Amino acid sequence: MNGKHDQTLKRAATASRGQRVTDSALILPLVGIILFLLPIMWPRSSDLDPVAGTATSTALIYLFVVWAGLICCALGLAFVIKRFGVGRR
Amino acid sequence: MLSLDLLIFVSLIYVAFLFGVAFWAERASDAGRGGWMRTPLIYTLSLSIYCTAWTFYGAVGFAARSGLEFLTIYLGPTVVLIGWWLILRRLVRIARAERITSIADLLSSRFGKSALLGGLVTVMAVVGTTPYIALQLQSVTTSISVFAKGTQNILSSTNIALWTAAGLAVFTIVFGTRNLDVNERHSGVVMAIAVEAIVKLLALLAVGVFVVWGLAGGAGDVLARIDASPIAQWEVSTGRWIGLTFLSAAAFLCLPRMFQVMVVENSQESHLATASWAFPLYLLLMSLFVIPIAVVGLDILPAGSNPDLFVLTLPLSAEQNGLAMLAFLGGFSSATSMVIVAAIALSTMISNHIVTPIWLRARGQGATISGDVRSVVLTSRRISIIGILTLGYLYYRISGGGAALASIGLISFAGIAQILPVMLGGIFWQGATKIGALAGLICGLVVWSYTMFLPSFGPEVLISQESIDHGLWGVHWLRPTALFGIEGLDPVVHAVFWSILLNSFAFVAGSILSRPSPLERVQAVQFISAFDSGPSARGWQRGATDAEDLLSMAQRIIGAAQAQNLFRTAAQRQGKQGYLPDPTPQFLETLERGLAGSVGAATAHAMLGQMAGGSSVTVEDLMAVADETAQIMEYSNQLEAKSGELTTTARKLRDANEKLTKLSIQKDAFLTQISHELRTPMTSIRAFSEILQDPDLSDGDRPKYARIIEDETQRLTRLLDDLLDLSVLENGQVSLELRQARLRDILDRAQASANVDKHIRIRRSAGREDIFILTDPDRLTQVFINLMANAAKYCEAQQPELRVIVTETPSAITVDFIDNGVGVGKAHQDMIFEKFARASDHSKAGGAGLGLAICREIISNLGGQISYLPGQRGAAFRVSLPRD
Repeated sequence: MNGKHDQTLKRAATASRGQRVTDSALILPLVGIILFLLPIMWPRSSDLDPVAGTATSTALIYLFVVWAGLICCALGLAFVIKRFGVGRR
Repeated sequence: MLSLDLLIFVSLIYVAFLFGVAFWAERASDAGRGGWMRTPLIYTLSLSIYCTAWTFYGAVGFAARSGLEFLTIYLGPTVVLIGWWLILRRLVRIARAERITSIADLLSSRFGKSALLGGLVTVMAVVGTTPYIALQLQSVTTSISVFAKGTQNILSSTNIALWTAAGLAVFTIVFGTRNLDVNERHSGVVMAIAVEAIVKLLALLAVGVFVVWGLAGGAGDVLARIDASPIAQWEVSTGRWIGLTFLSAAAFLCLPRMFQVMVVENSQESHLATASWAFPLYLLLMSLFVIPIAVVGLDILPAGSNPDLFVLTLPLSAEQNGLAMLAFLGGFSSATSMVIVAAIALSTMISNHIVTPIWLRARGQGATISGDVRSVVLTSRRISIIGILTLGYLYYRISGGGAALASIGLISFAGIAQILPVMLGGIFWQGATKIGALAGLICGLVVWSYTMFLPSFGPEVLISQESIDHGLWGVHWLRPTALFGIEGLDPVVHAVFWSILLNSFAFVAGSILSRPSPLERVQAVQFISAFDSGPSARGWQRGATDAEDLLSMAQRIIGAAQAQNLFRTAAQRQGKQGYLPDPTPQFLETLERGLAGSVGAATAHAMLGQMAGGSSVTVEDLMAVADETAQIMEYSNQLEAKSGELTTTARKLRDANEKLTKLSIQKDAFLTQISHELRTPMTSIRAFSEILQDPDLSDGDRPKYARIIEDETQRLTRLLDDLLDLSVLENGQVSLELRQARLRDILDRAQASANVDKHIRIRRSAGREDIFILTDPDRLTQVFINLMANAAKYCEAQQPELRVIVTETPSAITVDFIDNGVGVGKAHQDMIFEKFARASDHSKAGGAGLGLAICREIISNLGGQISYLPGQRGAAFRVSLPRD
């Protein structure tokens, strides 16, 4: 009885984890798109006010940090998926 | 300065090394030791063919011109890979299930195994890839020319391009078309490009490290130089940033070579999970030093230096010959790996979607008769590879290698990206149809050509300056750089925006307005529900197909060893020994997919269809079968109707038979009756004749007996007359003399002829009898005489009386003869009209009993009827005559 209960719990937990992994796998690219498109709203230098623009070095650091962050998330997700086999549905 | 001879020597060594690696990998794979080659790492490295010479040299140039904008080319693929769960996983799953061999095959297969669509995508791919191959040749040539500067030129640039193209063709043919793999995977090539991927990454990183820590003073210094450089400000236009990111993502999915390594060469879905982070990491590393190299190059090198070559010229300027050599090999690797894979992918598409369908059609029964399909496919691929490289070379010669690398790359990307809407629609939207796909692709191709491809050759080459300035045919809103009058957009963004928008619009509209064929529907379900691992909907039926024939065909296509292996495995799975499994539907499906790996889905289906003949069941066949079933059902309905008819006929026949039997009995009875009727008078005639011969007979008796004989003879004559009359009437041989006659006259005549007034009193109502009818008066008189005589004969009342009542109704005239006797008993009423029927005993009747039978026949011949009228307290007969 107890074992059966445990099994049910386990299955529910697995299903829930599968759902969460799937959801994050779908959301991650969306987050990537938003973060990568963010720079288009940054201030740009203009002839009238040359100082207000964003420096390329700042943009460079931002983009590479976001990029690396996304790679880490994808790595974590890939690890979870490979470990628990959600991908082999 | 590095000598050109040394450079070429090292290059040749490197090429030989690559050949060796590829050869060794093929050997290992053949020997079954290739397991480690199917690792996620090799898979990820093979994806690096995305980074071509355009990336290796061009990215720095791009960055030097437009700053961070070059990153869009890597951010797009990064997003695609991070989102692998949504699109790539589905593509890989579908490709595996359907044995997809190329992107053309994917679309062809999705839209009802359409050869037309496959051909169109192939043409688009060739058109889109040719400039790209030219670009690679150009980069190799340009990079060599850097080293050749100042030395005596032993090789002209065109020669270099030609030799490079030739070398690449040889490599591709040797390792790309060595065999026809059922999975269309190429261990040797994949291994070689993995090695090249490492070389180019290491080369770029090495140059980057040297630039940052050798030429500049570390990371901080580089950042400071960036802020001081011409690209110090973030000046990326919104449209280009979004447009180029989208374009690179689209191209990453649709480029034939990317599809080849990412989807077709994928051996395990889990490799995608690794690649989802590893390949973005590779891209990150590849682009990490691009801006520093560009900035330092702009800073150090003399003004006017080609920024596309900073990767080479920076080490050279610092006299770092070894590094320059490595950088050159990196660039060389980038160019060659791209060309090799692109050539393999395109040659597969050309042979599967253009050559083989045409060849099969030309041969008619091709696959089933003799002939080596395998050699045809391989030869066509080899020729295609040569053709593709020749095209690339020609494009390079014609375009003169002038345009900046980046712009050529973008034109290619935009052309290939036209496939994206149809591809995504194909794998996500069940309602997408072939017509829609064709409409979308053609629309996208036309808009792309007009706004981007044709103008790229420069004015007056393929499109006139007049058209560029004022629109096609002078229509202002058709200007190739400002469609619909929208000006001010960046040309690339403008072209991509309009081509993809109109493409998608045509695709959706075409799909909604057209109906998919049955096969399309089935394939749509297969593709959309790629993750529901149900049994396949399309199917082969166990039929007359001979496993041996199938084996001989498969051997011709995928090679003897592979085919035998496939067959033996299938046989073992069925629990059989040997090489010949039962041609079960499952086996046929496996075989079709196996063949599809070599010749494409559409062709494999057609071949197996020819082979299996009528036993192959496509949905179209099922439809045909359904039609046949409908026909059979209709036929069965007809049979049922006929059977019903037959039943009716049989019943009629049975009735007729019964009637005949009855008639036969009646005839027998009649004959018995008539014999009896004839015999009685004959007996008395004979007896009295004998008595008359007696000499002792007194004279007084003699006349008495003679009268008896005479009476009997008369009776006989009357009987025979009646019989004759009846026979004539019954056979319908009687000729009636119809004329208008007054009923009263007929009755008068009958009363006179019957001569029964002394036996019975006849009461008539003369007023009602004044009717004219169309009849045969003599025959009718005969009937009336009979009825009157009968009444006189049988009425046993004290004062016999016969009433004759004439009644007129709209449809008939009835004449009732009603006497005041006892009438006819109920039991006899039914049969008084039969021959020889008599209600009372014979002696009294004095007739043959044919009177009423004759009456009935006469009246029926006159179109009326005679019946007994019960319930009149005496015998009552009703004669109904039709009114004219």
